[in-house]
Amino acid sequence: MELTTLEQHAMLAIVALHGNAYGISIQDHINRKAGYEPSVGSLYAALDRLQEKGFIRTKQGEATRERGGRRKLYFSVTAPGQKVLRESLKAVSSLSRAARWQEAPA
Amino acid sequence: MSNDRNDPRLSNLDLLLYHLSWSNVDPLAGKMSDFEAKLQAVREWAEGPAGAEVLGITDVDFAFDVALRDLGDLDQAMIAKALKRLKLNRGDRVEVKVEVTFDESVSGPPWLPEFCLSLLMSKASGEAAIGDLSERFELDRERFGAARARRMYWGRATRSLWPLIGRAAARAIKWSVVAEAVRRYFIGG
Repeated sequence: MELTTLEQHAMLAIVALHGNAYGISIQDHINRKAGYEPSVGSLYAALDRLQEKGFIRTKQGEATRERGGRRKLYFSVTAPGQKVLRESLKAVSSLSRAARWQEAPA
Repeated sequence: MSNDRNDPRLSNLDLLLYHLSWSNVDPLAGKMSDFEAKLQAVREWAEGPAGAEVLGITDVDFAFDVALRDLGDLDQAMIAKALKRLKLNRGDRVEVKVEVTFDESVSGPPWLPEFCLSLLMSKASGEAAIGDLSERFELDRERFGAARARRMYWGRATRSLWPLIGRAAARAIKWSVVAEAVRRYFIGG
């Protein structure tokens, strides 16, 4: 099962955030680590896809004043999600090793 | 400032009334001071996140009915008393009458992008996404002021709409192709 770059980054952020993964914290984490900030729309589109595939699950959180009384949606990675993420990272790692090997002769 | 409830700028009025609407009352024990505290909390909520200025809660008896999801339980014994006096039954839904007006200088995020996002997203994701944008708006407002925060909000929300419109269009195309295939299979043509 293939993951898009944003899906992969979102899943890595969710794993790294240890139970505090919601829209803004995921966005900020990706921004800090990958150097770009996905829009809320593209992030939630990716998260919806991941949820449909069963790779992540959601839990409603607290509604705060600064959110206009709207609840947070916390994300966590499921067991199948972890497996797919590992495979995806392995593929990236393998591809990057190959790319370095090709660069060496030049 | 405006008192017109049809004014589109009063985008959070419905939300405010929703927060103030009647909900399954279950009389327990409580004190009058709790009620005062709750009323104060209503006022603070309305004047904070809802961006409204509460001129007055016009019907104080009905203010017992406030179902504040985020502010905890109300004084239930007092509610029971009020219910008796108002000849209402448990579980009745009554809209609280609150006069509000909006002050542009404290107004919340623009309503139009919120509305568009809510159309394009599922209920849970939409609520969370709009909440995220509101949280950002509050941070930006503290750092840069209301006017700039509103512009930044527009930028973020507009940037968010394109991928969602693309996804909605792709889904519509996919389902129209499926429907066409089914139609051809069963009806021919």
